[in-house]
Amino acid sequence: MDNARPEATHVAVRQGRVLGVGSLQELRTYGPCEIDDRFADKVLMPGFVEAHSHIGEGSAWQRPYCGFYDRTDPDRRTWPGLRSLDAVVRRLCEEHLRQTDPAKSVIGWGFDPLFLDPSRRMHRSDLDQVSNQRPVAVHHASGHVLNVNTAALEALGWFRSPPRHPGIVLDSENLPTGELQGPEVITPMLLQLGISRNQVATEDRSLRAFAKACVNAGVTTATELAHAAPDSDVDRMLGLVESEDFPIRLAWVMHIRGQTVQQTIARALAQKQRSTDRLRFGSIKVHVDGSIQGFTARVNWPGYLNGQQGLWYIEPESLKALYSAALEAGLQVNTHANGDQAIDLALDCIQAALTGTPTPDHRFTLQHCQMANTSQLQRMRALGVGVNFFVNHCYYWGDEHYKFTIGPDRAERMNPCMSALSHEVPLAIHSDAPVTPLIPLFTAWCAVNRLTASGRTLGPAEKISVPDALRAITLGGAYSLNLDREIGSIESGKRADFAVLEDDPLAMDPTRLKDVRVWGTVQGGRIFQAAPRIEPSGASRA
Amino acid sequence: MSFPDLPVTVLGGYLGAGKTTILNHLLRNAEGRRIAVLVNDFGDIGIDSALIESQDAEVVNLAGGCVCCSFGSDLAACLGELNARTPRPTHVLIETSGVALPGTVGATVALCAGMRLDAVVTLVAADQVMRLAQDKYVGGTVLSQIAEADLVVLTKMDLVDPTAAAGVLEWMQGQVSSAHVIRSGLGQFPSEAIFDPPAHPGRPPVNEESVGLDLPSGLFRDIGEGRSKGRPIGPVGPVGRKNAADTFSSLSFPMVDVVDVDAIALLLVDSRLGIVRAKGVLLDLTGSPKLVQIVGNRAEVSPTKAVDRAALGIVCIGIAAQFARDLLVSRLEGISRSSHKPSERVTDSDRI
Repeated sequence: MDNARPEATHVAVRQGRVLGVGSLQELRTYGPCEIDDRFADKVLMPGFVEAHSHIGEGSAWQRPYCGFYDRTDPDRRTWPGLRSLDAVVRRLCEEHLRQTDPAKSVIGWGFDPLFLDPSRRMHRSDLDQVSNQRPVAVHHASGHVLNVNTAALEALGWFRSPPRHPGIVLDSENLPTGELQGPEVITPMLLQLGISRNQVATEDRSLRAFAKACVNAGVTTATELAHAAPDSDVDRMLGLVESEDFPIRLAWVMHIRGQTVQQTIARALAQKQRSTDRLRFGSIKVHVDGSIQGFTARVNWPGYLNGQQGLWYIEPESLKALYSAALEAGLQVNTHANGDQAIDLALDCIQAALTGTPTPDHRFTLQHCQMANTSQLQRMRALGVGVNFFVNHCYYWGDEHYKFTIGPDRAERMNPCMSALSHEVPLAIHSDAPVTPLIPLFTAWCAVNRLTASGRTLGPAEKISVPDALRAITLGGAYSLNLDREIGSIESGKRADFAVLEDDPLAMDPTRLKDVRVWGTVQGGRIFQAAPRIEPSGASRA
Repeated sequence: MSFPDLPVTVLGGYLGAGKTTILNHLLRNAEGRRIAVLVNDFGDIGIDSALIESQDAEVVNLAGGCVCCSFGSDLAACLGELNARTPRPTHVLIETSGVALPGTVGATVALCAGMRLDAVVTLVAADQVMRLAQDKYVGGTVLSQIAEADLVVLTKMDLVDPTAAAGVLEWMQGQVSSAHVIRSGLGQFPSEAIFDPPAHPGRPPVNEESVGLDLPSGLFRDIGEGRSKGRPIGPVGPVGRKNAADTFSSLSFPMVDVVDVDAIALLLVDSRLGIVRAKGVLLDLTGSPKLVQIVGNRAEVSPTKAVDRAALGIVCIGIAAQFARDLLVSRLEGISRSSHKPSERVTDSDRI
């Protein structure tokens, strides 16, 4: 990734940093050395940077995976995708039998009905087959729908006399079908089932699982973007993350939720003082709107295909106040803005804030930013704003956007990586794990190929080259985290963070970029091997 | 023993509409009510420090048994915790964020056991609303906030001159199809619109566990003669700054005999009568006691415990300038009479 020296045969490492890169003879300039040739037949790249993820990727696997696609857990066991409702029910039955504590409910995740038989929607009677006493639920991959069984409904008193709310879907006899739509009805149900939002996220077990998933994917720096962890959690996290065998650097971004602007700035500054090499604080996250597939992103005229426009999550005045205060305090702000109207507002507010507090190199980044258009990209360039596209959406929800949310032409220009590059907007790409799997090579594959799950190419003009995609998951990610001085490329002075690959991504056919095999990582000069793969037993692929 | 559902008021409206001022006013004048205020985050609430008794990360304890809690993004959880508090609050006020849709928040309340959505109240600043409604970003949201309200309070009327005030009122008339609009200014605020009317002075409270502690009857100011007869909102003559706020009238109407309760409820939501709130226990045609609660256009009739004969009846509150008291009395008497004579029961054509 170093333009001056794009490829080399050897890298010298001292005290966790890159001493030099080049040929063995060149590196002997530095003096005596030990030669470690265990990677002689591998390919080293700068360690991948997952620039937008959540620790929930580590804790999600404590519950049964119910998705359509095969997915690999942090122990490198591949769970086969479930291709029918019956298969989902069987997976949940296995969990029900395994879960001997009667107080615990059974909650599956990752369910995506899009490719299942459309004539048969999941119904509470399906989940009643798992248990009619214990509450059973299945979380959809979109995050916006939860299916439950009758016992779960009864636990909340929602079965016999369901509250009148559009999110509680009723059948022709006015009884709930078990399908709950939207956070207003899902949150109370999850509470009843024993899940609260921040519950397990910062537990050591989750952090370790998350870190393992990173090693498996060649990731040496990842993010929690964003969390509302109390300060009391910070001590414990520091202890774990700084331990010798913790394999990743974590950028921990604080959400403004529940705090005033002043409180946010003060806490971010205080936390920043406590940053260590592997646990970085000081960055702030704010949500301007919701998600496109949830119809809560703010969309300009003509709105969604169904005519709706989305929801604001913050007032313009508050957003501008946050930006101004952050600029004055020297803090970076990451702004979640999916819809094009949300992007307009964010840019207006950033422009106003910068006019009052001119700040070169502020590193403000728009996260997801999926509906960015050309004029917005030009504004971003003028304002020095970077972008971190959720390009995995092209694969997982590309067809849905094409057909149901915003229509063919706007879907085809979602996550416009090529336009960002040609307008010189700093580019990063991400998975938002656990929303989609934490695998930067797959994310790069999405940016290069733009294939939807059904095989359509979503906007061929926005495809980028393999080298550009690899740059986006290394230096691009590092830049968006304001860490490009330390990571993102293999050059003298930077951290010895490498992704160790079995295959050369530059030599593969671009359509096979996602099949590049990862051996493990080097992080700060320490070596971490990914666990051996556990292939599916082949049994339950229904 | 089961408690009656906690009444919950959702207080919405954009920044600058005066939500904080109103909350402080209500807390300062709680008059024995144990009010629980729920806010997104503590910092912006600006609670009068004179009211604060103690606080921790999640709850601020206020004078008179009131509390303020921050619900962050977990409103349902916060409401659940409130329900379990001892002593239990007697009224909940949820202050939404400036861009929230209060109707949606209200729908969440409906999901919580032990809670009853009393009203969605949207505050609108008279000096800002027309401009905000045109804002390219938040215009649609502000209009939705108004459309979703049971009651709209037009605040800061003292900051607009008479011409502008008339203009805002006329504009509001075009927006609001069914909500009632209450004018407020000079920091005055219509508590009458938020809390249940008291029991009729001299009679026991309508519901033992209700908020209805005996409020001094001086809270209600009857205007007297010259009241208009049943127009919902309307220009009420030039609005001088000292007359910026609406005042309220009340009517107590005893009804000790069985009555067509549904007809009463239907009558009370007719906007031409100018009723903002109404509450009472009546005996339906089978003799079962029914609790009737009206806020704006929202009517609820539910079975309830028996009360003393002397406590049967309805208390109605309305904006003085629009309260069609005489018409209301005559219609109530009409329904009451015909309830005893099935052959003369009020038909649709008799209803106003």
